[in-house]
Amino acid sequence: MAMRVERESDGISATPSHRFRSNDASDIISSLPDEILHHILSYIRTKYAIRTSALSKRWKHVWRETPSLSFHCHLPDHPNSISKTLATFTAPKMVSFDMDVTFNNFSLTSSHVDSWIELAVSRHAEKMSLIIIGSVNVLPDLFFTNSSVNQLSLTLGRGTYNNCDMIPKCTVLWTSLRNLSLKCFSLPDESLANILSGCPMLESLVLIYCHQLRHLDLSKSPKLTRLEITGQFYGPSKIVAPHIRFLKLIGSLEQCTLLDVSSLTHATFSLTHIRRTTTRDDDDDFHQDMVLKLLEKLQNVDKLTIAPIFLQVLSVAELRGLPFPQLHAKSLTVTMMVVRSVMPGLARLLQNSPGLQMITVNTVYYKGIRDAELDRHLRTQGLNPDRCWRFKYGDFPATEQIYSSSSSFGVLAKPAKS
Amino acid sequence: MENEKKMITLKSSDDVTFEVEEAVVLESQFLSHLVQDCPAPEHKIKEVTGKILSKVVEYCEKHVVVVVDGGDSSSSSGDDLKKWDDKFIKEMDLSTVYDLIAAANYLNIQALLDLMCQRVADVITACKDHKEIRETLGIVSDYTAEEEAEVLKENEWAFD
Repeated sequence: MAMRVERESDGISATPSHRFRSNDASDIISSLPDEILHHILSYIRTKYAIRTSALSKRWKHVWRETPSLSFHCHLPDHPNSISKTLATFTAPKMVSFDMDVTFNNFSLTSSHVDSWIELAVSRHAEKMSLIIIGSVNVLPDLFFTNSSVNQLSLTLGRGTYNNCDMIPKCTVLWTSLRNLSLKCFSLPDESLANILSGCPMLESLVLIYCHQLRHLDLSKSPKLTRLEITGQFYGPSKIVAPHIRFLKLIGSLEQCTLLDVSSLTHATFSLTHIRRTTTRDDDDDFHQDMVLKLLEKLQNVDKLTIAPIFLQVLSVAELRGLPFPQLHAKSLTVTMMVVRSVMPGLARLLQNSPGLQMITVNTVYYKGIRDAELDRHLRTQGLNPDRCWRFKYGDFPATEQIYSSSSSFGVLAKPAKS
Repeated sequence: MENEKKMITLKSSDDVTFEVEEAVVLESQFLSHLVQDCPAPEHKIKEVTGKILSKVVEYCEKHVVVVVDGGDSSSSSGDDLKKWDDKFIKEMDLSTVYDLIAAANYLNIQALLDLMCQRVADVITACKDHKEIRETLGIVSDYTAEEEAEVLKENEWAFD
């Protein structure tokens, strides 16, 4: 190649050290074609890309023509600066529009957000990731009728615990959308239905901390095969999703029933909390019914992943002798503390999974249900905790004996006969 | 049924030859068209030197193996591949990166082009200001002091 120069032979470090510098005075990078420079700048946040405009005349307009924008601004930047910068952006086509901004003091207005959205839509943005935290909580209709966008991730309003409404006033038309992620919204069932009916191509739906969802019905979205819900003591209480193949439930759901998940092959229950069923500790049954019913629905699941609280609840159900479904999973991943209270549930899970080929155990530090709480519950059921489990699983420490291990180990094993 | 692996010889501008499996060549859009259109045993690539072509071949060989082995459990092999990419890049000086950008662009190997552009992007991002970018990348400014001041003023917020 004509552009070869003398080079230093030793290694380089991640930071721009003096070793990472061409010895030759010729400026190779500036001689690369525009599209390569755009490609390089597409990996850089717009703020840093703009800095290249000061390098030389060759670079003055390169950032403006780069088909992706990425703003990660937090105070003290002003939304006017972003608007001014966007006004000079000239690329006719936008591959990616990524905005993660936080403003306070009412500096952010609807006209800012409207103009940003208008730009993204007019440049046919394909990938949009918008986290706009500030005093604006409504998006223009234009936002909901965008046939170019195929990936959309959205958070709006005042942040995690102040959900704003996701209630489109118009008919949603996201005809190319494949991946949708909504975080921190009030999302009534009718609004989600409006959104889903406007997304015929949708393949993946992620809902994080979304309120007001009661009955999640995905039966009219045949292409939608991935569903992930992160809850915080709220979320849908009923899920009808006959086409879903991958399901992830994360965080804490209060009560959740899977009505139809007949195509499900991969299920992950990373639940970390289950809200107590009553305020009186004595009556708490840790939602054993819900957990057993979730398992019952997993008849076609090959790959199952479960979190510690789930195992503990299964332990309680097992000690009480509740009927336990047969599973057909080939691969099981459990995240747990090696404590007494997960063992009965784990043992039963393994016994009821005759097709299991691989078990992966990740150990974590996790408090979960304390042994004393478990004992109290067993006593209310007329069981003697010492006799029914403390003696049998006495080799394992109690949850109260703080157990910490950050290491993770994987084992290949046949189902244990315990 | 196992097909015998078809081998193809690539010759660099300075006549260094590399014998590679056909699958490796298919990583490059340009070469796969070339191989299909003219089924000769040897292909000369006038635009790429032996030193750079050896890097290209090393990269493509690594990536083709993983795709074949991938199957279901792609996540761990994906991680391994990323580690390999990181190491591949770390051992490289800037002028080699530029040469590989030009070669990946010419041979149309998108993943290699992405990797190299990402590397330059990381260098730019790690610089504290435009002067350090200039120094690191060997760029000579042709702005007058007034012109430069004007550029800085236009997007003031980006230069703080």
